[in-house]
Order: sequence, then C-alpha cells, then structure tokens
Amino acid sequence: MSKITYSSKIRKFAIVLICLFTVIAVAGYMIYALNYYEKRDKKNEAAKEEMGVVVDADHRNEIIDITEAVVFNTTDKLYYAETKKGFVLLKNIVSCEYVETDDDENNIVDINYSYSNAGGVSRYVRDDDKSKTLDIQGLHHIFALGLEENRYFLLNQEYIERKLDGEGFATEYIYYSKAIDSSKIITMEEALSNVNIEPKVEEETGVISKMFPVSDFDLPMAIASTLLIICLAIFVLRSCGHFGTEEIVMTSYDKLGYFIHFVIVSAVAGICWTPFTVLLDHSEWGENLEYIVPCLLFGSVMTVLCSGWFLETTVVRIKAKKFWQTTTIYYIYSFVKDPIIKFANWCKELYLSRKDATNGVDKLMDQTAEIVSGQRDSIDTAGVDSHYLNLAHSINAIASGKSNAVSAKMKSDKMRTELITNVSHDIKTPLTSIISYVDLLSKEDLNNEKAKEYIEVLSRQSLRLKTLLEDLIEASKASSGVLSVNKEEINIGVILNQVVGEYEERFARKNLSVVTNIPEGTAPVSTDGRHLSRVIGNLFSNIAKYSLEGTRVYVDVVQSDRTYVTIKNTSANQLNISSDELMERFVRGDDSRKTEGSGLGLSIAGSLMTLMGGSLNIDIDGDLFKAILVL
Amino acid sequence: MEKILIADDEKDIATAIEIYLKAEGYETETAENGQVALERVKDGGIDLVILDIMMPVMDGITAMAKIREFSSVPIILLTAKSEDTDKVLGLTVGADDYVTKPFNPVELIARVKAMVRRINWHADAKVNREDSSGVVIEIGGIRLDDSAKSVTLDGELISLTPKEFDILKLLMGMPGHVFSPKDIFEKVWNDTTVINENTVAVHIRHLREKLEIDPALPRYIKVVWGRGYEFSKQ
Repeated sequence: MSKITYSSKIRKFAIVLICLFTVIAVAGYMIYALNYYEKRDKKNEAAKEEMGVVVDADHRNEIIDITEAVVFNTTDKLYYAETKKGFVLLKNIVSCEYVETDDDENNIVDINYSYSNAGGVSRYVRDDDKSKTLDIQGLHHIFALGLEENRYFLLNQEYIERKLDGEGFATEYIYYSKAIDSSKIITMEEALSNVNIEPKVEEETGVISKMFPVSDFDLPMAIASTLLIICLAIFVLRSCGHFGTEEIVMTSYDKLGYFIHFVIVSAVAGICWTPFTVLLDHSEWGENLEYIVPCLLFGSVMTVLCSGWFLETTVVRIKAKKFWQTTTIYYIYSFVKDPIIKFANWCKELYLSRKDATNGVDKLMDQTAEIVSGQRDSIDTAGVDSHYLNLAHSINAIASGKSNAVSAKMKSDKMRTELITNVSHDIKTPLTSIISYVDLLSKEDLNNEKAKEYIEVLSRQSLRLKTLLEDLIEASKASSGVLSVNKEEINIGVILNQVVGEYEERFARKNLSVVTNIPEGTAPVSTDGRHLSRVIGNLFSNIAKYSLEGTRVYVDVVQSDRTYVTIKNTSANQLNISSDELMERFVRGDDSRKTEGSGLGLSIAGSLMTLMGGSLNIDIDGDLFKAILVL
Repeated sequence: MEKILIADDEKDIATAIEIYLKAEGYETETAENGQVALERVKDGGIDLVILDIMMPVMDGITAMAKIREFSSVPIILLTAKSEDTDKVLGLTVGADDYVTKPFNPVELIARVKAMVRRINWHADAKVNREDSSGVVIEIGGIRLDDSAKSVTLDGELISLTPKEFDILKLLMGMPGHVFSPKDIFEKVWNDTTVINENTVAVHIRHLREKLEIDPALPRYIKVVWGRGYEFSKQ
C-alpha cells in the first residue's frame, strides 16, 4: 500500500475542483448536445420538406413514405418517384406532411398531429361534395397543391378553404391564416421554389441556440474538464482511507453494509435529480430554461459527488481487504454460516459414522469368518467401532466357548483313546494267557466229548475277543485322530484291484463276482493308501460276510471335482436298520450278530475317511447296500 | 538242541511258551525281567531270546540294546503295543522278529522255528553255496535259485507255481522297487493286450501266504497300497 499520507485539505480542495469541473463539463456537453440536436432536427425537417411523402397517388388508400424516394422528371409538372412499391405518379408535390383519410362520410376530419399528403387532398376534393373546412391546427408549413389549375397555397397557419368546381373537384384552396391576412395564390413555380427554400426557422424555434449560443469551445472545454475530473478522482480515491496515517482507516460508515451504502447513494443521487425531472415534466420545449438548467447542473454535480462517495468507500473497503465482509451476501453468509457448517459437519459425521459402521461390520464379518475357518481365535476388539463392541465381545465369548469346547473335546477324546488303549493293553496280557492255555488244554487228552466241545467254544470266543480288542483300539485311534495321515498319489484302480485280490478267495467262497467300472484317465488321488486300503478292506469284509450268495458287487469310480468310489452289493438279510445307525460303533443288523466281526468295521472306515479329509456315506435301498467313498 | 530264553514278567505266559517250545523239542529257560535276561545271555549258551517289552526293573527294549552290544543272538520281541512306531523301534534297535500280544501260540512257534531254521541254514549255506550254479538271489531268509527254479525259505523248500516264481524273481531282482500290477503283468505274462491286474493281486496273495508266517503283516512281499508291490529291502 501507498506510504504517502495525504492532507485532508488537499483532498477537500480536489473535491471542490471536481464539482467545479463537473459544472463546466455538464454545461459544455449540454450546450453542445442541445444545439446539435436542434440543428439536426431542423435539418431533418428541411430534408423532409424537400423529399416529401406521397400518399395514395393511385387512390389505393395507401400511405407511401417517399421520404427516401428518388424523385424524377418534372415534365408537365408531374413528378415520379420510385418508392419501395414501384413508380408512383406524383401528381402533386407536397411538403412533408399530408392529410389522408378513409373517411367516406365526408365529415370534417381532425388532422391534428396527423400526417398526410396532397394526394389525399385530391381525394378529398373528389369525395367531398361539400366544401368543408379541415382543421389543420398545429401544423406548420404545409404546402397544398391544387390539381387542375396548378394552384398552390402556402399554408402558413390554420385554415384551408377549398373551392369546388361543378364535378366536385376542388378548384382552389383558400387558407386563412393569422399570419397572412388573405389567401395567397401561388403558382407551381412559386411552390416549387418555396420547397427548395431553406426554412427560416432559427428566429422562430431556436430556443436553445438563442439562450446558449454555440461556441467552438463548448466541446473541447467539456472534454478537458472530464479529463481533469478523472485525474482528480484518481487522486482522491488513491488518498482515501489514509487520513493522515499510513494505515487504512475504516470509518464506521465504511463498515456499514455495502448494499445499504448503495441504496443511500442511489437515493441521494435520485433526490438531487428530482427538481430537474419535475420541472421538465411541467415545461414545454424551451420553457423554464432558467430553472431547468441549474437543476440539471445540480443533479449532475451531485451525481458526480455521489459516485465519488460510492467509489471512495468501495476503495477503502477493498484497500482494507474488508470489502467482502461488508457485502449483503457476506451478511447472509455469516448469518447462515454456522447452521450450514453445523449441518455440513452433521452430514459428515453421519457419513463417517455410516462408513465406520460399514467398515466395522466388514471387519467384524472378516474376523468372524477367520474365526470360523480357524485362522484366528478371537476378534481384535481394539479396532472395533463402539457400536459393535458388545457384538464383538459376544462373538469372542462364543469363539472362546467353542474353542474351549473343542479343546475339551479333543482332550477328552485323547484321554478316552489313551484309556481304551491302556485298558486294552492290560487286557491283552491275560487274554494271551487265556488263548495259550485254551490251546494247550485243547491238546490235552481229554476223554470227555463235552469238555472238548466247551474248549472249542472257549477257543473261538477268546480269538473273537482278541479281534474285538484290536478293532476297538483301531476304532478309538481312528476317531480321535491320533493316527497320522501320509498322503501320496494313489491310483484308485490299483488299490481297488489290490484289495479285491486280498478278498478274492472269500468272495469266491460265496460265489460273489466283482464288477469294476473305472473310467479311463482317472487321475491319481492324493490320499493315504494304507488307511484307504483298510477302509475298502472293511467294506469288502462286510460284503464277504453279509452279501447274498451268487450276487455281484459293483465298484464304480466317478471323478468330478472330487473322486467318488461307489461300492454296491446285495444284502443277504433284510436291512432293517438305518444307514446312520450302521455307522455307529458296535451296531450290526440283528441277524449279523451271529456272525463273526466286531461291529466296528464301518465305524473305523468312516473315521478313517474323515481323518483323510473325505467321507463315507452309506445308502440303503431295499436290499441294496451302497457305500460311497468321497476322496 | 537250541536253548531258548523266554523273558516275560508274566509267569503264566512264560510257562505257556515253555510248554509249547518244549513240545517242539527246544530247551528253555525263563527270566522274569530284562536285567535277568541280560545276565543270562551274558552267561552264554542261549541260541534265541523271546523278549517281552513291558517288564519291571529293565524293559525289553533296554535289555535288547544292551544284549546287542556284545551279542548277535536272534531276538523275537513280544509286544502288547501294536503301533507301527513301536515295531520300527524294536526292529531298529536289533530285534529279528516281533509278535504282538495277544498272540496265537501257533504263530509264535512258527516264528521261532523259522528263526532257528535260518540260524542253522546260514551255517550250512556256507558249505553249500559253492555248489550253486547260475543266478541265485538271496534276501533275508529267502533264497531264489533261478537255474534250479527253486525257492527256499529259511532253508525249507517252498513249492511255487511258475508264475509265482517269476513274480518273486522280478520283485527280488529289485528290492525296494515298487512294481505296479501292470508292470508285473506285462513282465511276467508277457502280454500287453489283456491286462488283468486282479490276477496279479491274487498271485501276490498266494505268494505271500507261502512265504510269510503272517500274510497280513508280511515281512518280505509288501503291499504299497494304490501303487503296487515291493520286495522289502531287509
């Protein structure tokens, strides 16, 4: 900002100068403009009189403006003019204003302020069988043209009297004028010469030019004053706000609302123009000029001052960089700012909380999914939105409850397996003795058939106890998952043939034939061959035991996303048991209780399949027993 | 006659085994724990030891480890543990065979007999081996003489069908190599058109029944489930 300080005296002087120059400029411009327009008007009028307007030369009741028409030949004193409508025969050349009417009633026509032409006059003459007086008050300088008799009348003032011939045509026009005592008949030549005469208007109508004669200095002086005003205004505006200080000082008015300021300035300027406008409204052209002109000057000066005033505070505001703060928009803004910001914040918070909520739910869902899949034990409550904290804690409680239950179950499974194994081992030793001594006993020479029979029973049952014990250990190991799984690429066809080979003899004994359907290109399966052979073996063992003699055993392999091995056989006995029950330990069909076996075969097979990540499904359909291995 | 030491803390079982072995004509002695058994072996004159694993004072595995420090006397382990790891451990430490409790006395006697036969046969073989001409493959207790088309198990002649002999020869030619049923069929039957893999499985089973004391727990011809068969490397 400027470091210069300005004396307020100089500023005031500058303002006074501005007012002075304003007066000079306005006066100069006014004089120049008024004279210019007056002169132009007069010129226009004169030009119009020269060119004229032809109306309805062909009795077509049309008004044709021939102001800009080109006038031709004057032979026989008839004029042609080329107009926009073509050639028009001008029987009469008239000055600028004419009378035309469609009035067939031949009434008196008021032609005040009307414009017509002499062509119309001819029609009046024709139509008007009675001699009438037309009031042409208010018209100046009308040249009326007679027709046949080439008589022309100079119409100075107010009245025209037409004299008609026998056919109703006007023979002559008699004008009565205040200015002219009697009618004056002029010839065509005179009329034409009159047309070309420059109207002598200055003395009669040049009000302005009379009062404010044009001088060659009017315009230059006005322009020079304007330039000075601009320079002074720049100085004043540059100095504004620096009232003897380097800082911008804002007066209390400068802090007033900008719009209010604008209204005040406009009002003041408007009021200052009131006298001028009122006077102008109540004055005819050229009247009261002695009052109007000062009012005009006053209005102009006040307008300049108001503009300065308007600009000054604007500049001060801009300089102080407070402009924006004083505007109405800013007031409205500052009024609604807080609510808007509050609303925006509220929206933002709402959005964020929604987002948090969604994120929170997503996070919770992800973590819950991880708990389900066993990748994590609990939800990390640190990052959980407060809304969902309870939910997270609940899920954690469920998760820990579940994992406790699982580990408790695993522990109890393991303990049970250990118990079964240990007990079984403890049973094994006495059982070994029993088997050995029963065998020894059977070799003794007993002369007692019944004793031999009983020893036979003991031998059979002790061996069965041995099988049971071994199966029991295996079953408990398989179901508790302590068995290890060594997965290898296993050829399903090979393993099936190997197991079938093992059971071939037992199948042959019951006349069972195996029908194997393994599609070409069956891919190897990753699984534990030993466990799988045990599973298939158990199933084949059951088949050998329970199948109807002479039937077929079907083994089908189907591979899709997993490999399915279906083994089907026909049961010898009615299967009065559900597939679920069959899978349970020690469960056998009622009739099969008589036969050998522990009742653990299917249970072991199912456990082993689960252990290897597959499953064993049993399906019973009448006598059809179907085991489906899912690998 | 061979002297067999039976080490088992269970008196009844030791006695029963004694009765069986004596019935077969063997001399027997008993020891009630591993420590006693170890001392007895140190004293000498023992041809075979039947050693129970779970015994007080010193268990069978420890005793066997100590025996192996000075003696290569054949040892058959008696175990109530049927887990594979225990068997492997026992065999690694130096057992020649094992029988799981509850055992069938007939099986135990068969294993003892096989073991004794092998001791004697190995002694004879040193003399006889020179005579053999042609290709002879000998793994464990099995000796396959290709020129004579004969197979002996622990010195005892085993009667095999020509196909069984060919299969055994194929497997023994590459111990530890797993032959798929298809390989075996192609090489033994010399037929690639009609492959009946089931036939192979049946033949293998018959072979096992002839060569193994317990075909369900074969020592020589092992089933590699889903892949094929192999002759154990011993």
